[in-house]
Amino acid sequence: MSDLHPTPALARAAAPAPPAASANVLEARHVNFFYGANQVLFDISLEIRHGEIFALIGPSGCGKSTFLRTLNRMNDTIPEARFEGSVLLDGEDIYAPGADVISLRRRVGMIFQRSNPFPFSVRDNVAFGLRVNGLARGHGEREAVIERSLRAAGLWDEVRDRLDAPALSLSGGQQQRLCIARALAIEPEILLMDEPASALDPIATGRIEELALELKQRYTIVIVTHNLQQAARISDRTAFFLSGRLIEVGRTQQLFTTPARKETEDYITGRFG
Amino acid sequence: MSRLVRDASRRAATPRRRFGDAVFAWIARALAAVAPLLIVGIGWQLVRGSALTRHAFGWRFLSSSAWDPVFSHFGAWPFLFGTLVTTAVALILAVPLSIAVAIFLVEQAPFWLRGPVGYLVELLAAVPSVVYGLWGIFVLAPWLQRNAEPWLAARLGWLPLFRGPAYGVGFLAAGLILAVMIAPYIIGISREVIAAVPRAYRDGAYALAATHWDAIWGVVLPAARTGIWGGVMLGMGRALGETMAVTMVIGNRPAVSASLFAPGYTLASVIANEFTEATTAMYVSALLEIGLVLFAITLLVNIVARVMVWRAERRWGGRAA
Ligand SMILES: Nc1ncnc2c1ncn2[C@@H]1O[C@H](COP(=O)(O)OP(=O)(O)O)[C@@H](O)[C@H]1O
Ligand SMILES: [Mg+2]
Repeated sequence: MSDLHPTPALARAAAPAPPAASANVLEARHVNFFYGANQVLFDISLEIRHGEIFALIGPSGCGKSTFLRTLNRMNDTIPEARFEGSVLLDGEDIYAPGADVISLRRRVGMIFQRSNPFPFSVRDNVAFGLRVNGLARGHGEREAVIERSLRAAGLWDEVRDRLDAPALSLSGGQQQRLCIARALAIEPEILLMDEPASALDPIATGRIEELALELKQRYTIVIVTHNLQQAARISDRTAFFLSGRLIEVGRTQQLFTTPARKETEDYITGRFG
Repeated sequence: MSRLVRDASRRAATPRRRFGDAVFAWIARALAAVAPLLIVGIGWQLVRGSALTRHAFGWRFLSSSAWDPVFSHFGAWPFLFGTLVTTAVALILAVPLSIAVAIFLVEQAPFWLRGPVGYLVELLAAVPSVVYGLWGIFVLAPWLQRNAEPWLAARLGWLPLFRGPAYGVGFLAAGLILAVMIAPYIIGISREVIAAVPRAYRDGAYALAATHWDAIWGVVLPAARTGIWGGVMLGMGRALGETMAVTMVIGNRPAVSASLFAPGYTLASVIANEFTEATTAMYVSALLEIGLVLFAITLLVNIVARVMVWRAERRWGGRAA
C-alpha cells in the first residue's frame, strides 16, 4: 500500500504530527452566506482538524452544500452570491484580498453529489488536473500518477484495460471513484465530499465509505451526508446544521448517543426511529 | 350564466374539435411527407435534365475549364473552384471569430450585454443577401481595392494567394461577404451548445484548480465540439449555396486563379447569371448539371451537419441546437 503513495503531499501528511496550534487545518469563522437577499448560512464557526473525517449532517436545504462550497470557494462562480466572515486554511484566510483561488483548490479538492466525469476517456479525466496545473509533464511520470491515483481510488483493477474507454461508459459507482481518482491526482491535502454516495446503490456506497476510511490515512476529509448511519460509521466528528445554523458539533459517537441539544436529538431519533 | 354557456359550447365543440384535430394531423403529415419528396424530386429532375452533358462529358465536366457555350464546350471546374475557394475563405475567417464570439457571449460577457448582443447577431442573419451584396459593391470592394489588397500584397505578397493586381471584386470579396453572412449561424448554434454544456463539467474543472480559461478550453469546448461542428457545417452549407451576394461581388469571370484578389465565378452565380441566355439544349443541360453538383454538395454538408448536431444533443440529453 505504501508504495502507492510516494508523493510529496503524502509524505507531508505522513510526517510527524504538527504542533497543536496548527492542528486545525480549516477553520470557519463567523461565516454568513447569501444567495441574493436570501441568507442561507448564519454565523457558522467551526474547525476541522488535521487527518479527521468530519461529517456535516442536517435536513435537506439546511445549507450543508453551501457551507462545504465555501471551503474551496466554489461558490465564487455563482453570480449574486455573497460571503461574509473568514475561512482559515493553516491559519491563512482563503478569502483575504489577493488570496489565490487556484492554489487553494489545489490543496482542497472536491467530490460532487452527482459524479461528474468529463466526457473524455478514463485516462484523460485523471490527466486533466495534471495538465491544467502543469504537473507530471513527462509521459512516463504522467502515466505513473494516473495509475497511482486510480489505485488509491480503488478503481485500477477495474479500468486498467480500458483507460481509453469513455468515462461515461463506467458504472455510477465507478464514475464516482474516477472523480475521486481525478481529485487525488493533483495531491490535495483536504477532500470535500458532498453526499458522494447519494446516487449510488448500497454496494457502491459501501465501497465509497471504505475508500473514505482508507483515504483518511492521508487526507483530511469533510463529508456531507444526509445518511446518518453513514456519518456514524465513518466520521470522527460531526456537525449538525439546521436552517443555516450550526446547532451542535462534537465527537460523532457522542453526538449520536448523547446529543447536547434538543434539535439534534429530535433529528437523530426522528431519522433512526 | 357564462359558466353554463361555456360548458354548453365545450360540449358542442368536442366532436368538431376532434374532427379538426384529425384534419390538422393529416395536413401536418402530408406536409412532412412533401419535404423528402421535394428533395428527391428536385434531385431526379436535375439528374434527368443534365443527361445531355453528363453523357457528352462524363466526369470531365467537373475537371475541365472550358466554358464556351457557342461551341458547346462545357466544363464546370472554374465554378466549382470558385465555390470551394470562397467557401474556404469564409470558413477560415468566420469559424474562429464566431466561436470566440460565442464563448464570449456565454462565458464572459456581462449579463446585461448577452441578450442585446445575441439579438443583434440574430438580426445579422435576417439581413437580405442582396443588401449584403450592395454593401459589398459600394463599400467592401472599393475598400479592398484601394486599401486592404495593396496592404496584403505588400506584406504577404510572397504567398501566391496575395499576389497580382487588386481588383476589389473577386474571391476575397466574396469570401468576406460570405464570412459575415454565415457568422450569425455559427455563433447562434455554438452559443447554444456551449450554454448547454452541463454546469457540472465546469464545476468539475474548477474544483481541479482549473482557471476559467482552462475550463473553457479543456472541458467546455471539447464537450461542445460536435455541436459546434454541426454549426460550422450549416454555415458551410449556406456559403456553398449563397447566390445573390456572391454574384454581386465575385466578378463573374470563369477563371481559375491562385490569387484571392482575382475575379472568379461560383456554381450558384453562373446558374443565376446564365440561365436566361441558355438557348441550346446542351447549354441548359450544362447549367442543370452544375445545379446537380451544387445540390449534391449542399445536401451532403447539411446531412452531415444535422447528424452531428443530433448526436451532440443525444449525448447531453439536452437541447443542443
Ligand atoms: N445556486 C443557488 N442559488 C440560490 N439559492 C440556492 C442555491 N443553492 C442553494 N440555494 C438555497 O440555499 C439553501 C441551502 O442549500 P444547500 O446548501 O444546497 O442545502 P443542503 O446541501 O443542506 O441541502 C436552500 O434553501 C437552497 O434552496
Ligand atoms: Mg446538498
